[in-house]
Amino acid sequence: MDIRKTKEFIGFGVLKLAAVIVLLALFTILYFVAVRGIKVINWEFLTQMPRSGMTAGGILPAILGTFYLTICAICFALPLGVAAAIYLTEYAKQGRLVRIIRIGINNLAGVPSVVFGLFGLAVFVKFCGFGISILSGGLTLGILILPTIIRASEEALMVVPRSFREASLALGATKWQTISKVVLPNAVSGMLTGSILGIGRAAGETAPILFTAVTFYSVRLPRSVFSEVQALPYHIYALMTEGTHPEAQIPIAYGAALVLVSLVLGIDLIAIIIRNRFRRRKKW
Amino acid sequence: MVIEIQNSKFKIKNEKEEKIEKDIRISIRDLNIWYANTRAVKDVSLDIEKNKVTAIIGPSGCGKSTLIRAVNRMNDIIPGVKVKGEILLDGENIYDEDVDVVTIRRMVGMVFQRSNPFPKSIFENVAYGLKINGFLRKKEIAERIEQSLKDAALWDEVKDRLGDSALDLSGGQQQRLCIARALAVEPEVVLFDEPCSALDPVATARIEELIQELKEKYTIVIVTHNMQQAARISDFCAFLMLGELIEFDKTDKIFTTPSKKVTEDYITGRFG
Ligand SMILES: Nc1ncnc2c1ncn2[C@@H]1O[C@H](COP(=O)(O)OP(=O)(O)OP(=O)(O)O)[C@@H](O)[C@H]1O
Ligand SMILES: [Mg+2]
Repeated sequence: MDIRKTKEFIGFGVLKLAAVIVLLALFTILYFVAVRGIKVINWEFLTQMPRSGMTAGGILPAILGTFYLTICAICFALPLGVAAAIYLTEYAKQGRLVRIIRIGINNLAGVPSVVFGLFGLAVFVKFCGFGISILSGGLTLGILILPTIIRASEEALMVVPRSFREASLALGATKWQTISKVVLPNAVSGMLTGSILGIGRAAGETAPILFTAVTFYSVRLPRSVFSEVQALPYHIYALMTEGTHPEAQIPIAYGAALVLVSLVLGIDLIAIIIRNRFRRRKKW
Repeated sequence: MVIEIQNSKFKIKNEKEEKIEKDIRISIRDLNIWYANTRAVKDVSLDIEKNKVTAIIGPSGCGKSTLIRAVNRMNDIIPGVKVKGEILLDGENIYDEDVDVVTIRRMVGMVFQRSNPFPKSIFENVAYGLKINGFLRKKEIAERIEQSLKDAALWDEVKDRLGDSALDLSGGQQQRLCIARALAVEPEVVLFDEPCSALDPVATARIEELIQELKEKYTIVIVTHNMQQAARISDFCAFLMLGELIEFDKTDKIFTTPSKKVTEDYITGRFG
């Protein structure tokens, strides 16, 4: 038998196996969460307040809390990250300083999320006086996803061909006109896709909001950005570690987990849809 | 006037001095350009006449693109480029500190070696330059677009599909679209960097024809690899080698009786 063919067969086999294992892991998690969570999910579960000391009722405050925190993080981090990326790739002189900033940003991405939580506690909660609130938690989450947004945006900007910029500048466009009318429209899909994927991840984080935004139980829904909130990831954690009725709490935790996973997958789906829509339009 | 001069050798001699004083549009003076540490253009000086076609020829990598891009300061956007010397546009040095680059580029348009339409519609491609330069009236924009597409010999092919993506055009059509886009803002000088390098003979012929017509209105500088093309369309010709200007003269002269041996060798293909 041909040795090369055998090698190829084994090579492909290994790669295929790796792919299958990854998929299997993903589906196992989904299946596991879905099977246990689906039992408690119904309309009431999604739209009602918790009752009887967390052992019954719905998880509406947690869903809303996660939603508000995510929105707050987006509103803060998306404009800031995109602006920083534009500055770094388009305006800043590509020298030592920019290199140092880039290294800084990359390191920021590697910082454990609990450290961001402590930072948020020190800066937003205490120093800025926002207290334990949606605002503090949202800003902390925002900082957590900032490196992802900056990197995605920088990459999206850098793949816009130089020839587009040259064409625009040669027509007498200013740098800003070139960026706003030629570069950004061609980079926006990449920026959004990368950023949204980052946001999806942030929505599921527990540690950054632990000291900055969440409470185990609140009697009413949050009324302003200065209210403390319940949030899905923390809700799950709390249900599993606190309280005295695990047999009632655990199913609720799985229900909340299923909602959270669906939420994150939904956000990812949005990113994919945006990317495909833009990709169909551009051909360069 | 032009024809008269070309027909009579006697007159050329008499009028040469005087003409140079009168019709110089761009004057390159001791120009040196560095990429990081390599000098791509070395002490080049040459004058470009108004309403004439000036060709720049020379072997690959000799600095033709670098030189032509210096004329509208396109090299500025490449990191690490250093320029020394002067380029006078109507007597004013475009490399002076207080010169506004945007104004220069507005006056000196450019068509690039590889066609680079925006991923927008045909209409939007040509309208872009107008819009950024403050043309807002719809009617005026439409008129200008029609005129420049006609000037670029593209109108008949696209007039019914102006809303289509420019990227759906053929390579030759895209290059003509880029020419139309450059003409729409009515520059006074147009720089062509090997505009035909990616085109078939038919499209090339059209663009050559076009350049002949354009020189009525514009001053033209064209980089080309193609000797025949330079001979056909240019009035003046500059031969560059390893960043140095070897010879610069009337095209007739360069192609019939070049004064340097290397020029002759290059033109006759006995070279490199
Ligand atoms: N961006 C750049 N960075 C560094 N060196 C460059 C850059 N662009 C060009 N050069 C160098 O400068 C020299 C002149 O290049 P240029 O592009 O002007 O040549 P050219 O005559 O236009 O060649 P061609 O006919 O192949 O287009 C070459 O040696 C090239 O390697
Ligand atoms: Mg070139």
